[in-house]
Amino acid sequence: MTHNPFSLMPGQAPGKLIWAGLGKTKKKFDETFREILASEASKLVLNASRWGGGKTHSANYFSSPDNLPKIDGRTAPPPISCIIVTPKEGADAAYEFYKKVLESISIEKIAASIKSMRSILSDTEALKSLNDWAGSSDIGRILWLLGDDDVEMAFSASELLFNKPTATVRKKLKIRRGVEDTTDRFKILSVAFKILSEYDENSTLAQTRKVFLWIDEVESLILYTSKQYVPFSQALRELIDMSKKNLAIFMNFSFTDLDDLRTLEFIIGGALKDRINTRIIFDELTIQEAKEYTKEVMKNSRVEGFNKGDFYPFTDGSLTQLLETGMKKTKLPLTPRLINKWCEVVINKAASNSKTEIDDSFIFTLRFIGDEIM
Amino acid sequence: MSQMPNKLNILIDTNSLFHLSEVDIKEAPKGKRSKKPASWLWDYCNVYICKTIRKEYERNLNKIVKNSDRTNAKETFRKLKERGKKTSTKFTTQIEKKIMSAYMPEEKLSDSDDQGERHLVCEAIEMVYFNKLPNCVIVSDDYSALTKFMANAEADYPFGRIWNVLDFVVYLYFVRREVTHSQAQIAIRDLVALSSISAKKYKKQGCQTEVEARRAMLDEYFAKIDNIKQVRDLLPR
Repeated sequence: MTHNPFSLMPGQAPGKLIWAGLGKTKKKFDETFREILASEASKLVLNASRWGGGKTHSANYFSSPDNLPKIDGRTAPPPISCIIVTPKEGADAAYEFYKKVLESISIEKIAASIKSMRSILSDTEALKSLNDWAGSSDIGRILWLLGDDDVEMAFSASELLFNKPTATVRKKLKIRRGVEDTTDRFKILSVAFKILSEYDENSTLAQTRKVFLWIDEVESLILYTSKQYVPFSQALRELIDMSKKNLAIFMNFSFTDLDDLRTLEFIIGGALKDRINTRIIFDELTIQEAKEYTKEVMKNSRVEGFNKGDFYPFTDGSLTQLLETGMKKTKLPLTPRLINKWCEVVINKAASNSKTEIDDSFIFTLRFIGDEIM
Repeated sequence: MSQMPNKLNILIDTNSLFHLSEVDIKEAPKGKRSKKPASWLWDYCNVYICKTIRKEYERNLNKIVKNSDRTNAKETFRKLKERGKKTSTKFTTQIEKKIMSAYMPEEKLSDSDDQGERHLVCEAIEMVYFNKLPNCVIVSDDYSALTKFMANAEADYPFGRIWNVLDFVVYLYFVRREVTHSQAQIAIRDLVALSSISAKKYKKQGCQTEVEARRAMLDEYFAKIDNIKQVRDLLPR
């Protein structure tokens, strides 16, 4: 192998990531993406698995348009993907979230699409549409000004996405008020998604493109009190309700036990839970599936002309032994993170002992403490 | 004939009072006003407040009220002054010196910042010893004080039990029909989110992250009230 391919941290470069094993989960994702790409309607998807089940990897992997399933006969423009980690602090969570989304997509990109909208529709028509979409002539105008040719005006408008306007700025931009509360902010996100789905930086899109918003670590909402999580989840619900087309939100949720999903409502709030229309539950891996996963991870980092067997440096038997012993000693179900953790350590240990192959006897020398191999 | 249930004797710590004040249950049974767990405390228990706790609460209240709208906390303080029963003890200092030297031989009491918890334990011991109370429950969310001396005192002196606020909510759900399953769930959910209620116990049990630990806490207390619900459903009102 060119390197030890097992790592605890999920890879982040979407174009370079591989999908190993987890065939059933991949199939569910592919089906969901086909539905999303084939229809205009927005969707809220819950991805749930144990900790280390591969949700963050999925977000990174499917953020590359090349990894999305192909729809026959259609050349949809590549979706815009943005991955946001749920803020850990409940106070101002909605504002933190809004800020992260805008920064992740980039205000420049949104501004460029607005500029393109203004040049295609005419300034007056574009302003009218933005006012209608935002349901407020002031919010509409702030967005419209983002795409202004006057760089200073556009910059002042972009500042208002985060700050309150002074009287001078209000006068200069000809607005009565700025972005005042969570409803305004999520309205801005909704309109921004709509613009991005219809206008490219240079033109109208022949076909609308999708916006994929991945919200990772949604289980962190347990750290919010009801005073904090209720407004946050209501804001997300409003975002879903306002964005009827072309938006797909994926919420990644970790659990210890599948039973935890029964109390999902108490973690994310009933308002949000009721909007979920697809659930992708990652199955726990059987020994056979875990071996398949391990084989495919290693396959990707083989040197050319390699011919020592699918499981090398493990043998078929030693890999089975490792997984079975690990499960027995730790009493934990197999997840990609756990397999990565064990395989990374075992391969490093074998290498430091100058072993060219990991056999059963080497596995018997390993000690499990907690979920770790010592 | 319906009989007024006996009230539980409670000695409550400052942190637990604050925690209960944080919880606000919007949902109320039909035709009834919404309840705050802090008011359950006064309605359903005999609340004993020692001088140290009263002072500690007032001191902290002044600090936090400056930064936020803590109307619940202020309301709790008002009730604490009006309805909290004084502990009227005489031997706190002697008991404190005697028993704490056994649990914390290395520590100077004047340097320790858990005076409130120490006094609660000593006053509980004294009040039960002199038959002023048959027994009592100390409600405290100070995990460090619990592991340092409170759990030992609970084991060594039969004054009653030490609970955290979550145990208290479970108890109320067990004995008070007025407290609904959903209200108890909401209260537990809110309390679990408070970072000042320690989740160390669950980390010691193997939870690796704060989120995982809080999840385990939520599951444990939800399971308790689910079990109680089954019994409540069986029994007549």
